Amino acid sequence: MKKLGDMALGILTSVGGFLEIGSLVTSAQAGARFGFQLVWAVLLGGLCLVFLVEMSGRFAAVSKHTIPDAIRERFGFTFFLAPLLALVGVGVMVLAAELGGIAIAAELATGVDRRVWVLPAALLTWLLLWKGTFAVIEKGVAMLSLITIGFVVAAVAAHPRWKEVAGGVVPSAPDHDKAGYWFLAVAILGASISPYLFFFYSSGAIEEKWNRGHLGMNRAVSGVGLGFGTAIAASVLVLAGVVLRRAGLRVEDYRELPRLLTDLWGRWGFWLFVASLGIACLGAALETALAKSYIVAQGFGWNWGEDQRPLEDARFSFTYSAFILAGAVLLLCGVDVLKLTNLAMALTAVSLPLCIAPFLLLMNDRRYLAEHRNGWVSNLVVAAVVGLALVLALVTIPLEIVGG
Amino acid sequence: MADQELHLFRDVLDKQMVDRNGRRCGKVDGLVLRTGEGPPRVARIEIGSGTLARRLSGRLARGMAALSRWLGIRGGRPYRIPWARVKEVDLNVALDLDADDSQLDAAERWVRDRVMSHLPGAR
Repeated sequence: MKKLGDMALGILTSVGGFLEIGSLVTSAQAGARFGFQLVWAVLLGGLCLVFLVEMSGRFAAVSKHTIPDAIRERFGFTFFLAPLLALVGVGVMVLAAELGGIAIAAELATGVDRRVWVLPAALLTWLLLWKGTFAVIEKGVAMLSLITIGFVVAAVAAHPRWKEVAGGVVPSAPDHDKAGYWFLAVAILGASISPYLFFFYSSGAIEEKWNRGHLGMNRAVSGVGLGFGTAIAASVLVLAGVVLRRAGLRVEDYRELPRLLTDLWGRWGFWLFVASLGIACLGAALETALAKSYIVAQGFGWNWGEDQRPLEDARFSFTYSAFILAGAVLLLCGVDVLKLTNLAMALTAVSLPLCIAPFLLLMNDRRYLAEHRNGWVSNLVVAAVVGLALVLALVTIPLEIVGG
Repeated sequence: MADQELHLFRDVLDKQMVDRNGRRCGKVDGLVLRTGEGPPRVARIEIGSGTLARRLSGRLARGMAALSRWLGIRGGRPYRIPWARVKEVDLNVALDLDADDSQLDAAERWVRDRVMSHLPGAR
């Protein structure tokens, strides 16, 4: 009975935790600029993530290792540095973008400039980690994030031409701005396939002492939870494809975003949007900060754990504090949050192979997983999507930077 | 430990260590063998930022050692664990040591006492 409750909780937190500034901005831009043509990217990214998270949970439950711990143990410290540095480097940008999302939500709500809200947002994030436990963070904020289901309701209420939406499930070439289209495709993939999410997930599985008995629950949480989460991101795209496209907006300014819900629901829509953005980004900021810190702490063998008092794992708490500070400083430099988000998502896509190649090797290693090693389907889906993301990224990022 | 063959790189190096109380206390950063009569034997495990850095570059190792010396962490020296202290090598390397009682946790204690305990609400 308890397992059923845990499973339901896991599913709900996965649903709520999916949408954050990366997927929100990239989906909104995709819908506004290309209608429903990029639905396939959201679905493909989501599918890949479902496989990765399932693998991550299975890995932790069977091998009793977290992924960073196992990567260093299996491949050595020198190799481990490569994914570590990539994840930390890009991670600071992602964290800054999430903090930016919180600040934007606060600005929209109060009218006070977002730069004022950067430090309060960082402080709130830090306090929740400093004083909170895994339960409060993972469950509490993620449950609140279920508010993002509002986007699904709105997408349906917007009466899109569903046949056109279905057409977007198949990849198609755009009739304008090819470079922009493919760059967004990369950014969407990077937003969905978040390495922080599945590293975080394996840490959670260890912290909750999962074993082989949890494998079924793991599949349910990843499949159902993230499946619904993907639907939320796809809904934002569909919504933007109707509402923002009609208004001729390109979403280069974050002030255009509330339009997603205000056209339909007026004032209520505005407040729903602000709450959704703020809460979703807070959840993502917490998760990114924790995930990066887990990677560092587990890679170096330090004591770690959200349920421990901060002084019991001092280096771990120092790490997440430093990351939050770094994110806030980056944001205070005055970077454009939307541009930062797009860049962070694209760079995530580039760095994916560095993290996923060792992970895939581990997933096929008998010494860690015994009879629970990957089947060919899991290997193929992940390798193919990540390979695609890399190729697209290497082509489109330079073009986007040159193009301005 | 039982009489068996041990694959040092595969099963010991970079493995998580836990102390007598099951508390995580770092990973095996280095292994030192002793040669002489008979085949080489494992003398000790070494841990520390200097040891880790030496796997990348000698200059970096000297830099890390100087930094540790300046901060007052074990005088910049790596921590040495005699192999006799290893109870078993399984999921983790289990040590017959108390992290708190030894210099094993020096870096952790430094961060705790010099930095984190000064933040509000730490206790």
